[in-house]
Amino acid sequence: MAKSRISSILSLTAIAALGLTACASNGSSNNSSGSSDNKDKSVSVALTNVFSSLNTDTASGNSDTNGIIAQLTTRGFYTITDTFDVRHNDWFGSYNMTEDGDGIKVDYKVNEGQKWSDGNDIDKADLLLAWAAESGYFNGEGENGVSYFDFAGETQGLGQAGKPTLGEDGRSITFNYPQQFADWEIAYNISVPAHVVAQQAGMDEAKLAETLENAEPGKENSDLRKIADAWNTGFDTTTKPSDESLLVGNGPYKVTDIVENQSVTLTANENYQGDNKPKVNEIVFKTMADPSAQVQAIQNGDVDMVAPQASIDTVSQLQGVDGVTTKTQPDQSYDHVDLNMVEGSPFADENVRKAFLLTIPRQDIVNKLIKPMESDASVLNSQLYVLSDKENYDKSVENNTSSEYPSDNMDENISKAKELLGGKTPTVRILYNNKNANRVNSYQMIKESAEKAGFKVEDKGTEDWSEQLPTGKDGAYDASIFGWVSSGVGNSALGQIFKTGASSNFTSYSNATVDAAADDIMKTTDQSKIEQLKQSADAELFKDAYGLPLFQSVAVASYNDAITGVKPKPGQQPLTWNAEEWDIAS
Amino acid sequence: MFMYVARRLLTAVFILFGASFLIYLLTAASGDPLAELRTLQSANKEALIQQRIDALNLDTPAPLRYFIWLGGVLGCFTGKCDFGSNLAGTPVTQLLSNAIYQTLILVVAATILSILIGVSLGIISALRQYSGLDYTVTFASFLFFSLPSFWIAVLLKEFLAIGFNDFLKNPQVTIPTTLLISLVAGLFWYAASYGKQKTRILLAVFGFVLTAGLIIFVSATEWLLNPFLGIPFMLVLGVLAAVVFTILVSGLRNRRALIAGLAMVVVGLIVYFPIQNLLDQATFLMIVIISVVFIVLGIIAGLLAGGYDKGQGARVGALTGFVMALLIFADRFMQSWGDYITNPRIKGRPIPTANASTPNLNGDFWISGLDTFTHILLPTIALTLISLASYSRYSRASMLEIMNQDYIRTARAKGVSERAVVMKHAFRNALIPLATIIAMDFGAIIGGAAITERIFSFKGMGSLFLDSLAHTDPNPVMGVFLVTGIMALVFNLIADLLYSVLDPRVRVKA
Repeated sequence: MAKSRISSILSLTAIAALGLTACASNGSSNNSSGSSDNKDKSVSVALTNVFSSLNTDTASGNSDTNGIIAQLTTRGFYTITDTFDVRHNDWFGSYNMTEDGDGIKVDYKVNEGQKWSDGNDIDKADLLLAWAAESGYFNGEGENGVSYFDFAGETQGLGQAGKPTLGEDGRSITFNYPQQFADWEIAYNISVPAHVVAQQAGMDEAKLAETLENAEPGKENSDLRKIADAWNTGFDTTTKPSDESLLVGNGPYKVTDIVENQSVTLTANENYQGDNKPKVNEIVFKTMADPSAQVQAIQNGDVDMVAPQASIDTVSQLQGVDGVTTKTQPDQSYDHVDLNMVEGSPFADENVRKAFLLTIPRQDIVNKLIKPMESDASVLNSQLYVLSDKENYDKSVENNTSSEYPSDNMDENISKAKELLGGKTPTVRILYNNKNANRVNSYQMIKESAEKAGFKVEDKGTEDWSEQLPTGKDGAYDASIFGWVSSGVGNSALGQIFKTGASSNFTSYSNATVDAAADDIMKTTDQSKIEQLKQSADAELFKDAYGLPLFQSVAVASYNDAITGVKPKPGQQPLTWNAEEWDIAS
Repeated sequence: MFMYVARRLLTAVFILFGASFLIYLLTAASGDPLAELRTLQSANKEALIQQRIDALNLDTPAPLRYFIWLGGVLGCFTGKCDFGSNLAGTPVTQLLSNAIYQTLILVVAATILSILIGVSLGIISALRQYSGLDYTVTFASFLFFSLPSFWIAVLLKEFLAIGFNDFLKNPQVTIPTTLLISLVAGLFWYAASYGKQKTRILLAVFGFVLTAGLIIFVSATEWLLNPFLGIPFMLVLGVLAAVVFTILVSGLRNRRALIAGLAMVVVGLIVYFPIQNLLDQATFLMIVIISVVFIVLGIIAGLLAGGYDKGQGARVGALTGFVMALLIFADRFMQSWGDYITNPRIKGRPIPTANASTPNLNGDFWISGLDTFTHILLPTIALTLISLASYSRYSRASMLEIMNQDYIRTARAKGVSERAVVMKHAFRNALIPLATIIAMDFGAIIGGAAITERIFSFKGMGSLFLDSLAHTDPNPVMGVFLVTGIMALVFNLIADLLYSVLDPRVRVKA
């Protein structure tokens, strides 16, 4: 009896086992897991934000992560280096400016034989498409005008050049600017491949070029609409696209895999025509939003490189990780105090402004907030230059009167300030972000010091500080502490912030010399004149006691010691801007 | 009953409308969507601000903007769903589907584990109220409950990931360390045991010896680099499972049930070798089918074993069969462990600190299974530890209350064995209030675990919610709210209905 039971169990088992072979995976017993070769060099990098688009030039695709990927997969006429120089990519093509009457003429020429990674030539259509997107030429005027390309960059510079002329060779383009234009060097670059956009729009490349050549600006055109739609949204993807043509590029790397919200894998592009062929075969980007997660990930070897947002904790932890090089440097963003000069504010009086600025303990603020991260950090002394501008920064500091506001002997400053105030005790309301620890600390230190000189400081700290900034015109606050993010290249900041009535001029500041400099600077291509204008404006700003810059934030980047050729840079693409120069010491 | 459900569903709709309006306004008021753009100095600043104003309809006041959003969502009823997209232009539906998937991977295992462990601990500590065990469990669960999750996560990463991976380079435990760990384990056994002093000391010695033995075994065989179960361990663990299940389900006096369990252990061991070839080509479906087959075989074994209560035998057989299937799978996973850690993508450091998978791993079922396991290991431990307390406290309180009921005294008075009193009369009734908590917790699973997800870089519902809120990006926030809100309402209803089904004293009145 018992025997038969056991045997029946066994036979049932055997039948079941037989049946199960039917649902086996069809792959052969691939036990040698992991197809990658040991000799392959692979580097993994932590990124803070998720990847969302292969076209980083659109308004929605314009994120730091997308920008990092695009910079590695597409290369055009120039590259911005770690020292914020514009490096022409001579292997790709050439461009140069010649004066032409009142204006300038810029000729762009792609070298012969330049191809996208799928073998398609980089030619007329690509040049035209980049122009169409970056110039806003086809967009209509006003609120209700037609709008085609959602370009995230500034269109006014290239836009003033009007319609370009194409070269006979089919791979050159010429822009005629009606007047001198300071930022001509960064006004135009290659964007996404035109033949892929054409395919997305349901036409061939020739048709795309023809449409862009002949369409009338400001008018509805169905073919142009298709092209613009394909350019705007056709490259948006959070997963590996089924249409591989979207991955076409001409940079040192190409996208080979995307895991939604988790990772993006780039593999060296064997058809890359640039000077430095990539030596590291693969770069894997892993998304990690949390700075402390990034620190522990590099400690555990999950990633080889991180560039998290710097804080005292993060930097000191990174410096303690073995086998990892950690580099800190001044970032492109800087904190500053602005004084509101609108009528009715105590700071309408220049002496009160000077007195208040004297009380700002800038050195103490730097010592407390920045020195723990970067031991050789110093007070920022220019409104228009940051430390990465090197000798121009030094020159400007020499020229301007920032030395009137020393901060190493605060007692002396306070007594000077008392003198200037002459017994007055003005009440000043300070706007700042009370959810940002650095700003709260700065505010506290400024308040304490200002009160010693007789100021009454009122706390206007709020989370909504950025929305409140424009209310300075109505006298809603008297001073503000916040940060600007310098773009590193280009000269538009002067006109944006300091010109009378400019969009970001929150302090009702007005100075004829600065206004003239802001206008003139965009109308010249002479670099020494540009610097001269900026320096004169900088000097005026200090003379007028506009406010004071405090410090530049710190950018931190860490990488595995085995990787050579890494040059961390502040701002965009902090690690990967020169990935093709990396190598792994074996 | 029907009217009751209909009425509840109708109110749920109104609650959703009201709550979504409120959440929308709160999200809109939570920050400045243009904050990050306002401090730019680049030339395209004005254009970027204008584009964002257009994308989010910021020129419309928030209460009216809500109706724009609502219009898109209500479009679902006319077949034109529009949940909008986030600032990066990704549709909310796609964001949600990926986030739900990631959240389920992360949270389901932790929820099931914390229910199983928490409830068992609660029941056991209730049965031994005011014993060393009770105090140890209470202390430990409150300790874990009060730990902030970001801190526990950082500690886990430091010791179980970075520390463990470093340890794997030379997985030998020195003799002093072994003694120290074993001593601590012995003390724990002492604290957690109950009964006479002599028994407790004996148990402490046993715990010391067991721990020391395990550590020496693991060191000597480099088990952590080449783990295995093999026939010997499967036999020991299988028999242990069969005995425990028999004690719980029927009591050891039901020999037939024990035989059914032991038979399944034998079946598992016999199948072990022939099944290996099949397992090399495993798919998830196959694993499920094999488990089901083992459970069915267990039921058959129980029925064949016979005895006065075949049902009990069937249950023991099924449970033991399932455990044997799990042991076989565990053994197969262990066989792949060596391949996994020597994989060039893993580089001998198997426990990662972040993300949901290793990119470009290209492994078979077992390798990718191990990869998922290593990635969810730390977050699962963190989530389980934190949520242990609520389950163990609830089940302890509930069990204590039941044990003082009159019908328990009656059962004891009529001579029912203690096992039957606890398992049949007390335990089942103690589960009734827990059922409602568990039902609601399952509804809350989908909401994700915001902080844990963020720290372990899982892009689940919680981190989608946090990230979007940080950018004042209303569409994904509303998407997350809709899903979690609907789940909460539905599972609340289920919990209420479940209660009336489980407890005949409670009736749903229409």
